[in-house]
Amino acid sequence: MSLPLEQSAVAELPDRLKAGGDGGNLLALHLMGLLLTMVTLGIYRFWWRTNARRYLWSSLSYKGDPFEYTGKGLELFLGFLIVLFLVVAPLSGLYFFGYWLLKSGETVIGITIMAGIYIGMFALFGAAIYRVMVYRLSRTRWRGIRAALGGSSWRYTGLYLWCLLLQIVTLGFAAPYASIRLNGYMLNNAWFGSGRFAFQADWKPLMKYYVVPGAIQLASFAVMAWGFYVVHKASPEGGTADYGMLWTGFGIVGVGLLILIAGLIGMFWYSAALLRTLAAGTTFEGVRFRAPIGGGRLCRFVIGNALLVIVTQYIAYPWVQLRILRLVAETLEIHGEPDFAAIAQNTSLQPRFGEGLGEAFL
Amino acid sequence: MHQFQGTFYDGRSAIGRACTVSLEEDALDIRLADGTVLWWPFGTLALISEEGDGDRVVVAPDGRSDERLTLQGAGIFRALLAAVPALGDQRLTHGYRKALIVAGCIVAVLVLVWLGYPVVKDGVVAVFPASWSDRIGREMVEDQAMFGKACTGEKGLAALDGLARRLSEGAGLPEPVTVHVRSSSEVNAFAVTGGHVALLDGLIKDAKSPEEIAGVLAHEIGHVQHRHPLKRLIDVAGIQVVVTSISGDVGAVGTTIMMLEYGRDDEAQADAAAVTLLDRAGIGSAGLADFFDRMATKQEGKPRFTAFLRTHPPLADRSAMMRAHEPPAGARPALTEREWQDVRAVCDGVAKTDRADRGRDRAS
Repeated sequence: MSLPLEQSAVAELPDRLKAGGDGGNLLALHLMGLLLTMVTLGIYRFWWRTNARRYLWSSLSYKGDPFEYTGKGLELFLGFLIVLFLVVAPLSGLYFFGYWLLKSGETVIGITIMAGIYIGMFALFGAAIYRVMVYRLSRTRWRGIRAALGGSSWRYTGLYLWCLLLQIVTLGFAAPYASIRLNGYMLNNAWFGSGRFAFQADWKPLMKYYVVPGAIQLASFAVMAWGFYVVHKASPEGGTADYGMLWTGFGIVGVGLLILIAGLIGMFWYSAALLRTLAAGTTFEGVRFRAPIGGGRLCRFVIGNALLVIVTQYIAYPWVQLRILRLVAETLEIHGEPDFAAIAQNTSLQPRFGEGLGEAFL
Repeated sequence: MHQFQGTFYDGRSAIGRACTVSLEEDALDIRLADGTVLWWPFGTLALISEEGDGDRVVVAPDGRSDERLTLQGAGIFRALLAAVPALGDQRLTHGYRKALIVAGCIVAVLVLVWLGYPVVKDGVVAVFPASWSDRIGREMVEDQAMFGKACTGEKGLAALDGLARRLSEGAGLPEPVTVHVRSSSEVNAFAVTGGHVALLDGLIKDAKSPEEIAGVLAHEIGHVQHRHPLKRLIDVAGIQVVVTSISGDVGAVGTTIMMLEYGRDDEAQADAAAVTLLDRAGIGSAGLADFFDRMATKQEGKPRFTAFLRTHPPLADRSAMMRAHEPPAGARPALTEREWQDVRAVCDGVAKTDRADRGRDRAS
């Protein structure tokens, strides 16, 4: 009689990823990579990065099967060279041309070129974020089936510039909107085999998490600006400094810094809410996700990681990387499972080289 | 034959199929429930993932295939590795720990050599047989054509011998000094192992007073006192061991000659010793200072190296050090006028081997 009920209760239990990996092995890998990178004057870093990813990807598994990273160091190296010669070199040339124009009095054309370069840099920054994800997903497999990121890098770049503009105009308060739009575009174009991810979420509920720390941050900037103004007033050029006022000014700047730290800590609660929203808004072929993580836990986790790395002078870095995998495994709930038989191999074109823009601009 | 339960993924969909896998002699034999049999040769087998103690391992038939085989069970990786040793080379951290240990050992050895070498060198100097030291030194003086021929003016040599004895009296030298004069017109003098000191005729002809000769001789005896020749010889031998072991045989003599130039510390030590010896002998170091000053004047206008790069301390500094020193009371001449003339004539009758064109100032 109670069997169907029990079965449904079991079905309600979420599945999770499983994180493994051995910090000592990963440390050996990193030390070797560092050594060879120094010996090769930096060239080996692409192979180092590739090996570390292979290790990290395979340390995470779902249903007993590990993820795989199939990228090659040479692909990253060539990607870097291509961007160096096709993007960085021409851009640098254009920059010096614009600089020369400004120097020689061609102000209007010079400023136009310089402004174009700076906007172009921001655009490339946005494009780099997307191209990096395109490459990484194309080199990610599970059970031999490839992941992929479709969509258009141009569309993402346009969206990125639009969100940047909004952020500037709203003094940062467009962050929830920007995060949902940008992450949403990526999630909506993510594939695993023939299965497609979908994302749908409203940014407005996130505003209440952002408003308070966002306002505190703005207030801290105002207080610090006031403090610097007082310092400036207390030490007039050519006159004698008013030390009492000088210290008052520094005190105000200090208070501003404390307010800024409070605002930054408050942002952990916004970030946790964003992660929850991203997970809850994502579906994959009937599978739903949850990431019930609180701001307090995220705050302790991030500050703990930072302390680990600082105190051990990066020796603990491999363990921090594995800690991040464990947090994902512990936090991400997978509700339901797709029809694996219906997920066929991904047939989209894969990029041949990778992450050159990321190397140059991120 | 080993048999394992596994899951096979065909790379066309994400559904897995249970299979029985046996390790045959040179391939994996994979049997699916529907009767399909797959044969993956060991030669092309690609290791996709292995975790922890090797209780789960994923392989592919080759590096490009979409097919995967997951094997699970205690000790599975070890068993697979025993059958396919080449798979071990594909491990991500293959050899890393070993390489790090080797790198650590190399660093430790280098540090040990760096710290321990001076101690070892002192030990070798202490036990080095005097007869070897003497023979090596004699050969170095006599076999080098570039220093010219042996000068044999008996009276001159006797005068120089007397001067050397006067200088080394009470100095407690590790080896008695033997003075040689060679006919080269280069302005130079050198000390080699076994207490052999050679003055070149060029130096004698260039000297304006017997005190200059005494100064240079005292400087060379200073090298002998501190056993610099033997120490440099050991350095050269050590370097040759390293160089030869890295690059095969290397011209031994070239390295030896090259390395016979002493370092700044050695020169400063020999200078200090010379001042003491000259004072004790009642000669004073003004002659050596004069010699350095004249060398400095000769050098002017042709600065080949900056003072920093040259192994010798700047001549002006060395002469200033000599002059800052209080001359001994009741100084006696280094040689009598008669002896001085004999010394200047010591190479008479020996055919000159003019090497002035070499122009190397190795005055030490």
